[in-house]
Amino acid sequence: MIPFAAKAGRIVRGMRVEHVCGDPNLSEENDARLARRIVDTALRALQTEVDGPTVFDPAEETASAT
Amino acid sequence: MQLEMGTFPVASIEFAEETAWDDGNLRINREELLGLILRQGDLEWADIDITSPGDSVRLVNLKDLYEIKSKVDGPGTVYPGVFGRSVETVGQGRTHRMGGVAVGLLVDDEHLTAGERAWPHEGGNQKKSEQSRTHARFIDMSGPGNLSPYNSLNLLCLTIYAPADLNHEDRYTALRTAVLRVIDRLAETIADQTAPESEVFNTDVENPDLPGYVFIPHLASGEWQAEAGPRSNFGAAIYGQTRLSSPWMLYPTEMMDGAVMGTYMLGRPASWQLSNSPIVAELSRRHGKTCNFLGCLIQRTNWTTQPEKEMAAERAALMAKRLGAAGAIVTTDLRGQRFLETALTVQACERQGIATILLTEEEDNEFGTAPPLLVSFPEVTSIVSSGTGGVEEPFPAVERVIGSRDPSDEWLQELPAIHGSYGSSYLADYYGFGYNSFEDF
Repeated sequence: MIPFAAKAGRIVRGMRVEHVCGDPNLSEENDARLARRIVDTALRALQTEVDGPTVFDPAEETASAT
Repeated sequence: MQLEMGTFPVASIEFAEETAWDDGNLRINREELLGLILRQGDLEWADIDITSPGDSVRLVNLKDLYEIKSKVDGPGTVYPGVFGRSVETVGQGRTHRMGGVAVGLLVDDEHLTAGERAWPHEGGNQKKSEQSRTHARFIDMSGPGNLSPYNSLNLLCLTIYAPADLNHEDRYTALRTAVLRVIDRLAETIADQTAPESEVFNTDVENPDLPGYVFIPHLASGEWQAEAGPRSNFGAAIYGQTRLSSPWMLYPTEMMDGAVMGTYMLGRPASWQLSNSPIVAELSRRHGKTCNFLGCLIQRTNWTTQPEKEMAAERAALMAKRLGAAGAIVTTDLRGQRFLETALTVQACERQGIATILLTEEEDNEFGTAPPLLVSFPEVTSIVSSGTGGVEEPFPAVERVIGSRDPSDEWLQELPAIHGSYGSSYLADYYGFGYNSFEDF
């Protein structure tokens, strides 16, 4: 629905409108971990060929070494 | 639920010895009203001005617009629930209102920092940075910028110097309650008189042969940014409730009594507009003749996650369906994510088989290169455009500026044209008062 509406090719799922790259409900440590995962997801999205609006979900990202 | 609305037309306003309404003439004792504004000692300076359409006047710092009215028979009080007023259900009995006139709240806040000034009046975006504000904050009472409803209202302008020593919540409360004291006093003048015009609204009895319609206005909530938390007074209120919530079902007559009032953002005067919604009035008049007006579903926006937005839209659609709606008219009150949430409601209603019309302002078309709406779902097929909020010719120089304790000379000068909604917020028409369409419809 949103991918269609946004008409963007690659979309990374964020958390909340005012917290696109983190979650203030998490502890500082887990918030940082989530932020890292979202950025990793964005990098993966950029390296992935798409032929239409495609959602990339940080929940599917494997933990990266920090 | 039956409401008799008695209207006392106001053709002229003038300062006088006595505050009174008499045969279309509203007389104002200036000192008396100033005393009411400053009574509680939390505001240090105020001024009162009168202006009418056609005057060479520019209004600056206009924050909201109010209707003068009072409940003269039946339960409750107009503008219920806000700032400690009774929450008893309104929309019944008899209300007296003044027509052709509105009270403007103009807050001179130039001396405040961007952070102090930003909230509660300007919303969160301007909290952190000083932005160019001048371009967006004026209404001209004549010339190309004098659009509906400002081209048909005499205005009693209350300019109040924003108190610097109060926190956001207290400042907001001090300003708004001062206006309500003036409204209540002015409405006293018509409480015991016979209304020259009267109209009865009653949507209780439905005709099963006619289609049912609902009105779903979307009103932004400031809950996510309110420093006083979800019970803040700040923003558009339903019986005083400003928080994010599932949709509230109101009778149309409740809206006419001011049960929904207030405004979320700078330059989006809404209280008078919500009381005088042309959609509420016209659907009420057509009730039992061409349709059944089933009610107003007041939907809040500014949910912060996508699942919340989708759920809220679905609840409004299911409520409309359960009420028996065959059709819905949907409006919004702000761009951005609020528009997305509004479009989601249209989509949800259409999926429930409810024919839905979206009445909305268009985005700036960026000279033909940008789409008219922020998002477009395939279900959003019926749209009434209220224009882009732009004025394509310059605003002529004016003789007088209202709304500032010490107005800058720049305000008197000619101001450049505004192309589309990025420039102006005052000219936004979310409720269908004018026909300010970019293209005529």
